[in-house]
Amino acid sequence: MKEIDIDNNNILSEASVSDYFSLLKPRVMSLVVFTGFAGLWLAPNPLELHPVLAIVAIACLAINAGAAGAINMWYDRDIDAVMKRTENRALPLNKMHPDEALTFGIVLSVLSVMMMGIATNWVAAGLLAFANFFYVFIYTMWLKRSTPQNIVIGGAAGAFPPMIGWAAVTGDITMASISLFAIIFFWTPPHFWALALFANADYQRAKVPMLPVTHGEAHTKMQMMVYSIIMIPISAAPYFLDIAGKGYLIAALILSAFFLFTNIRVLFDKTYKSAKLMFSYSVFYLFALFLALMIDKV
Amino acid sequence: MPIEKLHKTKKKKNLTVLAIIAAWIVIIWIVTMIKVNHGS
Repeated sequence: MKEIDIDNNNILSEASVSDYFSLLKPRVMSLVVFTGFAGLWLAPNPLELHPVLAIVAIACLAINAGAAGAINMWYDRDIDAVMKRTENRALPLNKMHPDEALTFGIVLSVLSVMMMGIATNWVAAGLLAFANFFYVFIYTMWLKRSTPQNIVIGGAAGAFPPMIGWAAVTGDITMASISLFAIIFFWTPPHFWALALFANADYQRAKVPMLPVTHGEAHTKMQMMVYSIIMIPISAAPYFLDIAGKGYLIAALILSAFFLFTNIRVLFDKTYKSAKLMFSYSVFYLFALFLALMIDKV
Repeated sequence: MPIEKLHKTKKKKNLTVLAIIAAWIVIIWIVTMIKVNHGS
């Protein structure tokens, strides 16, 4: 670790570019880019949007998501320091002054919203700003530390990208774009609760009220089942809203059935092996659903 | 202005920030040209 000098609260930071990049949560960004692009592709007449403007829109989406992640890391640096999963992040390791991370996040948030508005339209920019606001203020600063339903409500922030991609093309919000939002919204709780099951000790140590910590594993597993069952009609909704064909419907039902199957295994498994498998599959599941939607449109 | 140790320490970061600002200006110019030429 590089040495950091502290001089009247001005840390002479020697944080590298990769340290700043790590603040943006690159793995989360990749999911945002993919689902945002999916929303853009699935919108009516996506080719009406100039390709350079489309690329700029997706870049703004990615940067804004990363910026929200940086602000989240700034706010949660106390929790991150005590969790094994996050103790090696830049701020717990004192690789930079916290104010630098906060400034980095705020500047990128504002610039990305402005650029989205200039490149596409102000509906997309407004949705982008709202998603950022929701993740930072509603989820990070309020829900995460105060309720076991944190990930249920707060997960809405991660569900906005396809709506934003759609709005970048059309300038509006429709039932079809809301159905894409709903897929991610209802996918989020079982995905994160599967993680929370095998990272339970970490969340307990950090006193984060994740559902397994507050209500136990049995209750969490039942809640996960409810959402997994709900995902079957939710994932099929694009077919009934005429934004996908029968090919997608079949793929969605198969993928969702397997998602439910992995959840059933979690229900009866006293170890965490099934939870880890379900968590890994849930990532593939979401990518596969949106990929199926895009392929179906072609 | 004499070059202090702080200047040298922060030089790389400051040049990176300058490059990002310049890139942002260029992107805004490109976006503007596209929107003007395509009438949107």
